[in-house]
Amino acid sequence: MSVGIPMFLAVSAILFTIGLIGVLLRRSPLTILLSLEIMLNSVNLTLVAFSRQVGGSDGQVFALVVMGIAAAEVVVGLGLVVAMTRRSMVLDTDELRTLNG
Amino acid sequence: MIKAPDVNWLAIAPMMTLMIGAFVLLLLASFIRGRDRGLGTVVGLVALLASAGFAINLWSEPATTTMAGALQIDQLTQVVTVLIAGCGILTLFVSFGWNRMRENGAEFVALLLLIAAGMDLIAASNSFVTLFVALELFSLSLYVLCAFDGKSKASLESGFKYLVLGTIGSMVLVYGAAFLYGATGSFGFEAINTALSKAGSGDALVILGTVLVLIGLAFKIGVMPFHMWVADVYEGAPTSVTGFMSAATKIAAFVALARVLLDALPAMRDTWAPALVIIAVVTMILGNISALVQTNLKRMLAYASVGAAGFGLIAIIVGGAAGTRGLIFYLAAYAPMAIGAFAVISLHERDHKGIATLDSIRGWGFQRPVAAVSMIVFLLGFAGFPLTVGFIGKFVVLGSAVEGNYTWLGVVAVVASVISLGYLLRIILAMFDRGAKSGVMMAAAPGMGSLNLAIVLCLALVLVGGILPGLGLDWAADAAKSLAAGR
Repeated sequence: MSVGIPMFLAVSAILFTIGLIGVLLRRSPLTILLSLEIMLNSVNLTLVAFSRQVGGSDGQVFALVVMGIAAAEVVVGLGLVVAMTRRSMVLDTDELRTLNG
Repeated sequence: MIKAPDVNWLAIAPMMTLMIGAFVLLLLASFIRGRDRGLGTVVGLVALLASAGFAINLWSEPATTTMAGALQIDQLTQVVTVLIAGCGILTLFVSFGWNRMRENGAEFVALLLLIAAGMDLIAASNSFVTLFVALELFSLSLYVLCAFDGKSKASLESGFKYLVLGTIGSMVLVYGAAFLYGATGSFGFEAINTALSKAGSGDALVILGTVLVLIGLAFKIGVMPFHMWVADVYEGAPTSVTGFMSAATKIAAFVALARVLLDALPAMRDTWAPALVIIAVVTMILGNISALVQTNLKRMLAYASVGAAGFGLIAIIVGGAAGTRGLIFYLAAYAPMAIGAFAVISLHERDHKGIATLDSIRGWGFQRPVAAVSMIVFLLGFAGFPLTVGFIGKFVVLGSAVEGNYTWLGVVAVVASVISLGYLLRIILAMFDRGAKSGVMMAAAPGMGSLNLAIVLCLALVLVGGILPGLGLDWAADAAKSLAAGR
């Protein structure tokens, strides 16, 4: 039995939603970064699944590009978290209210 | 053996200059300690001027694609390159006297150059892959610049918030691009357009992809209801960065939106045009109303810039030659006003040694008459008063709206401009409040001269553009021809 493209899309949609909910609801900056990674990888899954369906390797190459950029983004994110810790800021987004937004 | 794609080095010279400048700076910075500011400023100016020079040189060349068709070098690219270089140069002048420039000036300028390169690449992008890479190149560098004032908690917080919300925007954009890829089999704008015009626009995948791409770019531009990061990030970021962001990010993100909607997805107009109409109306009205209740000047101008983005959306909705010309001219007109206004706030913050609020600027206008009068011109420019370039920008957009049978959108835009007078006048009245005793000390910090120079340059651009707009309008019309809709 082969798994069709709708299954891949469903899994990636579920992952994307989990990631989005995590970003919006979790309060630790580290967990937020993790949730962003989940979103990124759900996008990668979509890209690779479509790439297989369409034929050709465009989608897979794009997935690799997305991974590279995701790594750069995590570096910046973790760098900011370290800087925030050094300034002895509380690592809880509910407490990040210097800017009342 | 895979054949390497042909690279037209001359065509990508403007972006390469900026990137080389950034890498040279980062290398030199580790050898030359303590001269960061001078080194950064000189290399930054040279790289930005050179990139603008290359772009002007390429102006009369025919449009080409290079890097295996990934980049599209045309007049829109050149106009954006020159505009971004101009924003970068003004920002260098604004930030020259800033403390952090003395400590980490080279890194600051290197990031600025990378941002400029990313924005130029956005204007040159020809497929979703290039668009995404360019978007992230400038976004990631900008997150760091926002958090650059490491001593200030607000700055770090704004950098982190921008990172989280900006990344959500990028992810939604790529997710949408993936669906469009699944439906059409390509990431290239032209190929998507061809496939969609053949297959029709009813496919659920295509509609979903269009909506997601639209949401992702709306996040990047910062229009309602995806604007929640704008006020926080603008407030927390260093003021010189805020000025650059409000001018240059708008240019880059709007050009990206125009490329995607008008070049790749014109067949989906029935899906995105109604959505954009709603977003534009909500953005213009609510953005300006939210600005009314602010007391912090940076937050107020942040909401003003959210409101101003509505005009750009109108231009994209109208489309065609008139709309795209209006979009480009409006973005160009907005840049000197935004950088100038934030430069004046920067000057006030240095005088006052604190954040700029409606209270802190009371009576300040008498102490710094030149800056305060310039601020009046910038603010009236935001509202679209005649003799400023803001008037011409709004006029061109409104004219295109009337031509394109969107007169009622034009009326909403005028109402929004009237609302914006409510808070713009409050700033002006507060600056020249005779009754207030000003507790502000005049700062005699070095580097004040370059800040004043930046303000005067912006003032000159706003007034010259407002009195003699002909040349700029011609350039905008030429650049608009680079978009399929502008021909």
